[in-house]
Amino acid sequence: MSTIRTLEHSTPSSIDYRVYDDPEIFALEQERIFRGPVWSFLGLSSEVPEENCYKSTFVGETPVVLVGGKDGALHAWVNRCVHKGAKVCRNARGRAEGGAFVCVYHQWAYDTTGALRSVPYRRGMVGKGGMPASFDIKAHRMMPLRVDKVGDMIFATFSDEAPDLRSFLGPAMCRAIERIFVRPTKVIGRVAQRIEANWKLYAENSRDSYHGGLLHLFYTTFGLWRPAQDSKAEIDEVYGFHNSFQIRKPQQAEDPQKHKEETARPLDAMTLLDPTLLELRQDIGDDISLSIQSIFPSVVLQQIGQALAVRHMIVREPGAMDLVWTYFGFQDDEEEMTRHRLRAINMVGPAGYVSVEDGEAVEICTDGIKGPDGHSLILMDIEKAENPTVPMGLDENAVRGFWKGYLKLMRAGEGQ
Amino acid sequence: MTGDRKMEGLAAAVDRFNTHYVYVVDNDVSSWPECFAEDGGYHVLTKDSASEDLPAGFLFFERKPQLIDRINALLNASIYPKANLRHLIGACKIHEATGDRIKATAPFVVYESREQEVPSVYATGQYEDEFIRNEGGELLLLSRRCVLDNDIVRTMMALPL
Repeated sequence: MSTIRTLEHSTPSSIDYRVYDDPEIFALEQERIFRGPVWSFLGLSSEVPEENCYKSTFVGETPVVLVGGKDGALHAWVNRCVHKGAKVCRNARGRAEGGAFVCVYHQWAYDTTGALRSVPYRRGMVGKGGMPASFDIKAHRMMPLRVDKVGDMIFATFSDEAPDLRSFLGPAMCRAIERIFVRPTKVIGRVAQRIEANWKLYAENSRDSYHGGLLHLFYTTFGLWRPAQDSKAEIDEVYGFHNSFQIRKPQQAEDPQKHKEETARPLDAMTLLDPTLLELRQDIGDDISLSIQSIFPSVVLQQIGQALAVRHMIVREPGAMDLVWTYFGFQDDEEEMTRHRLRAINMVGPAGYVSVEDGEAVEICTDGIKGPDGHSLILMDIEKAENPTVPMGLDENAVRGFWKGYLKLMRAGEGQ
Repeated sequence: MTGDRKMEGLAAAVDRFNTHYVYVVDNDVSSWPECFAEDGGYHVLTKDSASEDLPAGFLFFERKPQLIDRINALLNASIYPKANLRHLIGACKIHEATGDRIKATAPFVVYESREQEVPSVYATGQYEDEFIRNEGGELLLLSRRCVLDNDIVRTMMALPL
């Protein structure tokens, strides 16, 4: 089936399975999404705290470097030497001595903005060799991206057509980001998992609250699932492909019995011997105990108890992605608060009690969609369409929102 | 007993402990918490984070009851790929021995064999350990910090390293 037909066959509630594994779709995504009118996450302010500090990352499959420039400026450029295309910055993070990025291959040197500053033997030696007289060093630079931030989250785009970052995110998403970054933050650790699945399966997973109490049996096994919890879901006003879920601290005891009647797996309530990892501490200054915000295309900002993190999807190939978890706290955290964040992090990440299953869930989708053509069924709560007040776990509105925006971007230029 | 002799004896005791640990995690994982003292800690993080003094990693447990909770969750609640893990622990190095405490390190490799797949290396790294002796003179972990060489793992992290 052709790429175009595959996209035409898909609707936000019914995705053609080839959209997940077709290499042509993957290539088109690089052009229309990751290099299209979209802002992609690069890193946190605290990862480039000073001038000349840098972080190497990716926008889609393109290697990109984020650098702190003069007077608090932020720069991002494609990590590709203009000489032969070599990767100039070879470290994940660091500080560039004198603000210089030097390609190791032939020592072509760039500044923090990505502009070419020097070329060895440019004028040759003793009248021999050298670049042609017409070679203008100022005419060459590594490809720059537009950079901006909201809260401590730094984003970049290749596109001149992309709206400004705040318009791309919309007011509700900016509010949800800024709610977290109330004080200066610091990174407290990083982990990553290679997931052998298409990145969109994870993008759906992070927007899907339906699976929460059904896949992550830690909650139910230890009697922690609260089906009638006070939750709120929001979708961005413009595109509908970003979303956030929030849960408030429980105001009263609730009966988990109803959930048990709905689940197909036996649930023998066990008790945690040491529930300190679940304790909620005074932190951000409101009564929201959980917030999971998925920002199109490739980042999730989360607060689960005191576990603050960004989950950054690094898109490797149609069937593989890396999920990089960067944990952070506030610079004014006391030592005990940092310890408590470490306890709370046991709930999340590649090993976490309520997230260890996600990698497996999206990998079994990858395995299962091989073979005959087919499509998904994303129908929960579709008739009460886009109802933002439905309690968590009972709808797939945000998943459909992702696809609505995705399909619109992917069909752009097809005369639709 | 000379100092060297004493250190050799301690190293042999730690290596014996690690042989037992490997047996337990690969054959009888529900007994894994018994390798730890009552206030024994277990911490898994990357070498990258450790070298920058960043404390957060994959897991952070401070007491044996939390390790029992972990095993109960893994055996009764969590869903992860069916796999056999095979741990290999190299000879230890003793760094410090004072009173009933021993500080040691040992390199480790964990292989993973999933159903119908050829085996792969899941993790390599170094245990940074502190041991204490119980009343019977046996070593128990007061702290095991697993520092991973790899900064990424395949799919997830479930069973203990």
